[in-house]
Amino acid sequence: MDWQLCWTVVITGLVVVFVVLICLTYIIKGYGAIINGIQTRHSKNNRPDVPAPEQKPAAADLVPSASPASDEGIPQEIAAVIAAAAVYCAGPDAVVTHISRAPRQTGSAWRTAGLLENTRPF
Amino acid sequence: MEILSSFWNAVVKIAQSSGFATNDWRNYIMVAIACVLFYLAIKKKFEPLLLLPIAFGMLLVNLYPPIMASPKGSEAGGLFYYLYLGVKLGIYPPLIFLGVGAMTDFGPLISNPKSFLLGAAAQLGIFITFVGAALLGFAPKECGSIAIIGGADGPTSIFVTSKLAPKLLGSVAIAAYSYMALVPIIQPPIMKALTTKKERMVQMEQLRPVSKLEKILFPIIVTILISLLLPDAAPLVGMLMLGNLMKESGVADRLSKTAQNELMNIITIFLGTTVGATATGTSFLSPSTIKIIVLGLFAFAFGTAGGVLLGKLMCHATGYKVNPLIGSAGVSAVPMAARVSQKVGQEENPGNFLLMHAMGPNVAGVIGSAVAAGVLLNILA
Repeated sequence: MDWQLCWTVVITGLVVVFVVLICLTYIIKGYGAIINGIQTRHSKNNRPDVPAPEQKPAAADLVPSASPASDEGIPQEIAAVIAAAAVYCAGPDAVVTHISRAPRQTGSAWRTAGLLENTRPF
Repeated sequence: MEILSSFWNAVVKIAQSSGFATNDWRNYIMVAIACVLFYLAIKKKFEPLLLLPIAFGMLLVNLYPPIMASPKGSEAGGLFYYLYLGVKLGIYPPLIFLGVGAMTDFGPLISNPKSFLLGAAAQLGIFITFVGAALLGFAPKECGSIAIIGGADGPTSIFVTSKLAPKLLGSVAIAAYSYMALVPIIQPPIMKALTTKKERMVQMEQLRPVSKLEKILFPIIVTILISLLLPDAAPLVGMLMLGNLMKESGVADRLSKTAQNELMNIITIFLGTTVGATATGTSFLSPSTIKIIVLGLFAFAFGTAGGVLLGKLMCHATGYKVNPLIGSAGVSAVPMAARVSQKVGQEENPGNFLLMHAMGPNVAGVIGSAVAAGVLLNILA
């Protein structure tokens, strides 16, 4: 065995693996910081100037006191989640008055899934 | 009477060409080994997707050796000879990496780039095993093929061995995949021996969310850097990153799905059976195979130790913010090694969730072993 070659492989291998991966560490850290900076600035610029509310309403105040009317079979938890989503999207003044199921699709769910699977890319 | 004689001659001819007359006793030992591998794959579920085709290739070639025969004159070669060209020419491993890339989420690595260091430290097993193989009298190219088992990455091991020492392919592939399947048994004792209870109980901070743009840029940057620095690693890393880019870009869903499923499965069948078919009785049953199996275990153990020790160093350097157990995941073997980190961490502290933290070093290990493969090929090929 050529021991000089052996130690060359060991030392070069360890050094190169560490150097390449350390370089990648810094590159990824660097571009991560740049992208995060740009995206933070971008989101700040896009946010409309809303005057600060005088008093932040308590979380409990945002939840409608009475549950919205809902079709039979829709659990109260689902109604609460839908109401919370509506309040999050439309603001604290939004009130959900009624929740109903969308009309059922014609044909079986498997058929629809198969159709979507085969036609979605086109 | 003449009919009886020709019948007898036909029976004798069939008997003479049958496996019972032509096969060597070593072929039957290999058939027995293939049956053990079937047991491990089917009953114990040790990497069955690979071990099953490998075992079947081994079985078939030892029952019917001409299936691997090269063409002679106008006579065509055996089926596996042609399928094996994909291994010999280095086509299958990069294609497997394409599928792996399409299935991998580099998010945990991008959000904690320090994981790259753990992925690098876990490559220690490769280089220590290189010295071990040299001490046992292997030639330099063979040492490189054996050492790469420490990368705990099947396609990388096959890629390097097919270029450096093709005759060791069967032994190296079987050792690599067997030990990858045994990661949950090999790693925990080493992890526990090298860490204290306090270190194993460290809870890590939640990872920051990674934006889509970062995920898209990652494969492009890695490909550019590694292809420029280490062109020998470009086929593996390039295909890994292509698969990942197809997934993360979101515009090539069909290609990504094909790479993850159909293509990956087809290549796995071809790769597994033909690699198994290289393990013929005459080539596999030799003292060197036993040495390779022992060295493979050393490679895994030292790789695990390297990752854990650097994790320990990072743990102390950061004031107990890094759990050293995630270092063991740097040996690739995705995602098994990360699951082992999670399991060992949770044994000490049931509220500890290390899986996503361990996925960072785990995928860094894949890149690290591909870089180590590039170095070995560059110096030894």
